[in-house]
Order: sequence, then structure tokens, then C-alpha cells
Amino acid sequence: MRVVVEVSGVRKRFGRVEALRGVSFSVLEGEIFCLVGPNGAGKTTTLRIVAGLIRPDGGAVRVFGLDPSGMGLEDRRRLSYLPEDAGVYRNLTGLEYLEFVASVYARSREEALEMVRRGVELSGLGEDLRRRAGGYSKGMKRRLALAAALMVEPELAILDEPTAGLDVAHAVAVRRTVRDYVRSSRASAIVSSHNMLEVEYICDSVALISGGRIVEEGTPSELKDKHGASNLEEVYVKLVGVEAA
Amino acid sequence: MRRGILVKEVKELLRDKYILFNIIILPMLMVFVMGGIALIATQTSTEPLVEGEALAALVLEDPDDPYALRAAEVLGWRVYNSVEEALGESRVVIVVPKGFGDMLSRGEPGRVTVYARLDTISLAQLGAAGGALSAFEEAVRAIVASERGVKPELVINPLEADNVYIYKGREIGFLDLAYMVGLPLIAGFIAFILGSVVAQVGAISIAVEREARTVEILLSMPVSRAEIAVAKLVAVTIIGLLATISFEAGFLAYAYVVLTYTPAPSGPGGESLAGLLVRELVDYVAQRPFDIGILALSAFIAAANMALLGLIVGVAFVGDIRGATSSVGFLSIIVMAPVIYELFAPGAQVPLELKILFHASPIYYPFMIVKGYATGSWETLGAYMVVEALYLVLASLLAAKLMGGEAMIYGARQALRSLLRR
Repeated sequence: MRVVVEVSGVRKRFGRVEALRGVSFSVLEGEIFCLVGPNGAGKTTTLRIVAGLIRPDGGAVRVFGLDPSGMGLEDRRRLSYLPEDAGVYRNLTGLEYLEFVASVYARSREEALEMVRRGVELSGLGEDLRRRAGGYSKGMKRRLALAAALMVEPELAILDEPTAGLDVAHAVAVRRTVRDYVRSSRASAIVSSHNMLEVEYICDSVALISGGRIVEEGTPSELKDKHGASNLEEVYVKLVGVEAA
Repeated sequence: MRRGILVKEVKELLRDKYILFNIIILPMLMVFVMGGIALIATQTSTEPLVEGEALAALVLEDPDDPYALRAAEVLGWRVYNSVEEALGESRVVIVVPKGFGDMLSRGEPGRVTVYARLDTISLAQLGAAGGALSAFEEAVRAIVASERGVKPELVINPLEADNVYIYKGREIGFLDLAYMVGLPLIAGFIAFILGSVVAQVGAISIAVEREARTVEILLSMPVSRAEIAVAKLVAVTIIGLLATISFEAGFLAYAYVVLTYTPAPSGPGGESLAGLLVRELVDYVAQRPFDIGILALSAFIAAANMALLGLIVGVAFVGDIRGATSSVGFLSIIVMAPVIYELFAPGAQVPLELKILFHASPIYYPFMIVKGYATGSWETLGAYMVVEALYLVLASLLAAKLMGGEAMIYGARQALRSLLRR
């Protein structure tokens, strides 16, 4: 299978804090790759670098074989990024927000309409889409943002903690949306998460990151077998520790 | 209300560095900054051009007029025979006609003509003419009072004066002068209101994106940084123009109320003097529609400059809405300072270091363009148009550059560090 994302030896520093100390991994086509680790481990920084928002201080990143920070606009259409705790424009309605995103990604009016139709369906917000997003609950905002990220049919979806802070019902809906999208489109996704249940449910391969380094990598079953654990949570605690978790 | 809630609110606000600076420290600083600027400007323009020279001089049509001669002696002013000669050495010349002493002896006001040579159109130079007349009036009042054996306060209005202003070697009327002062004043006022609004909206538009965490989504989309910068620039300029229209409508409504309902003791037709001045000015501008164009151009330039400043501040220095508004509010006052100076003082007397600083102000350019137009200084107008165009290009490039992900997400300091590390 084709390699979609190749990260090798990436380093990044913020002032005195060394956020990434040589992170390496790769993501294959049609795969959901999960980056798992405690707070401050470097997950968000890694995803921002893969999305091309910031540049690494050292190492190399290739997305579709290109440097993401210097990617042309046409290639940027192939990926979408959902930041952790991403907000919405509070004075736009949900529908207006979807229309705005579609207007940026679509090449024609028909394509934009199709994207919005898909976004409406993915969000599952129904009539609430006609309300201003400032009045949405956290779960509704997350579903809207996720719908906007997936309705553009990216070849690579970069999702930073897509279910963080959501109640069970919303979290299940979001996970299902991500998994169904990747399975049906053969796109790839990089998902960061704290939730081991979520990771076992949706991820094809997992990388555990701690202190700015990848400490373990493999499929969920490989990791469980290797560490003699009955679930990924045990693997996580063994490798990262309860304190950090 | 529970005490704990109040304590929390007060602590929360007082521990905010922006609020602390803007509420406690800034007002103190501003009094010194703005007052100091006006003071320096006024002093430099009322100082004689040549050391040891008096501010004003007298021209006596009757060389033996006792009142005028004594007043000149008291004030230390020189006496000349012709206005041209006197104006060559003094900025203000008071011409005392024949029969001046007789008028005062009869208890009538003595009529004089005040010639003021203006090196530049500024409030301080106009004030210098008024100041010289007041000094002469005080001297005459004291002389008349001592002759009559009464207290000086009992000698009311001993003088009546006609004013003649000379600018660039030609006489200009009061309305011309009001126009030359008024148009840049209006331009400065519009630039300040519009600029402040636009800069704040610009900074807030960035801060809101950062606070709501929408900026990362925006930056990951297939749009260029320049597109984002231009979209924000246009949007905030539209908001700023709407705010200015609203402000101007309020100003006109106020002027209408003043004109309609305020009777005046000295203005003709029962109008207040302020109302009359506003009406005359409005009539004058209406006769010169090109002025509206130059004012609109200046307003647009001010808006664009300040919008860019707001965007740059929003990206570079602040991460929240509170910080954005207070930082830009502070900057708006600072960038207005050169305009205040120019309104008061002759530009030629500004020290070079200060002049260089003035050119860093985005409000200075539109103001000087209108001033150049109003006073007929076409070389000033042309030069500032060219410099303004360069300024806009450079500021746009800087703003677009700052729209990069690192600066927008982490602030300019981190972006700079990363750049240096790479």
C-alpha cells in the first residue's frame, strides 16, 4: 500500500521546552493511524507539523510525497485538519459554516452544493444547522467541525482528539463517522487520542508518544501480544506509566 | 452579592496586565504624552524665529502716539514704519492707526490691525497672533487705567482688532484660513475615529480566530495567506467605514441641533458663533466637491493603514480579545500624536529625530496629504502619496508574512525563534 505520510526524525522546540525529540512514523493509504500519549507528549505539535501549519526545527515530513508547509493550494485540498477543541464562527449558522468551507474547497458550484449536502448528513444536526453556532453545545460544535472536515472528502484527515470532552452518545457518533468515512473512501486518517477504548475501536495502527518520542508502534493486537496485555490501556500504563496517564 | 464573587472579579481584572496598564498606568502616561506634545508644539511655534527677537512688533502711523509708544516700551517690542519691514523680523505685527490715542482718550476702543505671518497652517501660529494682541491689549489697558486712576479691570475692551493673515507671501481671509485649518482637522478627526475602529476590529478579528481555535482550520484550508490577509483587510475596512458614516451622521445631527437651537450673543441671525463657523465651513466645502474626494481618499488610506496595523498587532503581540483591544487602543492614541503636533506646530521646527518617528504613524500620511491639498502645497501632497503607497505595500507584505501558521498559533516571538533556529 502507498505511504501517505512519512515523518522521520522530527524535532521541535518552544523556548526551553523540547516538544519533539526525533519523532518518526508513517501512515499508509486507507489506514487510521492513532497517535496516543499523555498531555504534553507532543501529539498536537506533531499533527500541526503534518498539517503544514508549523515547520519542524529538524527532521523531515512528507505528505503525499510533498513538504506540507510548502504545499500548493491544489494539494492542500487533499487534506483536512480538525484541531483539538476547534471552535466555530459563533455568528455564522451551522449551515453557513458548512457553505463557507465548501466554497473554499469546491471547484464548482455543483461540487460545493454536494459537499454541503454531505456535511449536513454527516453532522446529523438537522434543523439546528439553521441556528447560530455560538449557541451550540460542545458536542454539536464538534460534530459540525468534524462534518466540515470530512465533507470535503480529504485523502488524509488529521483529527486531533476528535472526541475529547464529549459525552458517550456524541463520542460514539463521532467515532462511527470517522471509521465509516475512511472505510468507505479508502482515505487515510491520523487521529490523536487519550481514550484507549476509542483507539481499539477505530485504529489500524497505533504509535505511543511520550516526552516527545515515539515509544512503541504497531497494530492494537501486536501491541497487546508484545506486552502480554489484555487491552491497550494496560499497554499504555506499562509504557507511559500511571503518573503520566 | 456574595463578597467572594466580587473579590474574584476584582482580582481577575486587576491581575490582568493589559487592564492594569490601560486603566492605571496609561491614563497617567497619556496626560504627559498628549499634553507634552501640545505644549512643545505651542512653545516652538510661539518662540521667535531669531534669538533675542520679540514675538511681535508695532507699526505706528502716528510715530508720536503716546499710548502705543508706552505700550511698546512696556512690552519690549520694536517699532517700525512699514508693515513689510516689521513682518520681515516679527511674526506678528500690530498696526496702530492715526487717531488711536484720541479714540482711547474719548473712552472709545482703539482700532488696530493685526498682521500675522504664518510659516505653516497650525493652531499654535494662529494662537500666537491672538497672544500678541492680548499682550498689547493688557499693556494699553494698564496705561489707560493709570491715566484715569482706576483699576485695570474697569477698563473694558480697550481694543478692537481686524486680522490679516499672510501665508506664503499673500494675504488670506478668515474663511480661507478656517478652510486650511478645518479640512486637515476634519481629516485628522476622521482618520483617528476610522483608524481606531478599524485597527481594533482588525486585531479582534485575529484574536477571535485564535481564541475560538478557528485559526488552525482556516490556515489548513486551500487558501493563501495573502487571501486571508486581504479578506480580513477588506472586511475590517468596511466595518470601519460604516462606523465612520455612523459617527459623521451623529456629528451632522449635532451640528444641526447646534445651528437650529443654540442662540448666540455675538453671531448674526441668532446663530451661535460655533454654529456659524460650522455652516460656513460646510457651505465652503460644498462649493468644492473635490474636497470630499480627497477626504474620502484620506479616510480610505487611514483605514487601510490602521487595519494593517491592527492585523499585525493581532497576530504578533496578543493572544486574546482583551489584549487585542487594549493594545490597539493604546497604539491608536500613540499614532495620533504626530497629527496633534502638526495641528499645533510648524512642521519645519520639528526636530529631525521626532520627524522620523512621525513617519512611523499610519495616521500621519493621510493627514499630511489633506494638509498639503488644503494649503496648496502640491509637493507635500505628491511626496506623501508616493511614500504612503510604499508604506501600504510594505505593511501588506509584513501582514501577509505574519499570517503564517507559527505566528498565528503561537505568536510572533515563537515564529521568530523558529525562524532563527532553522
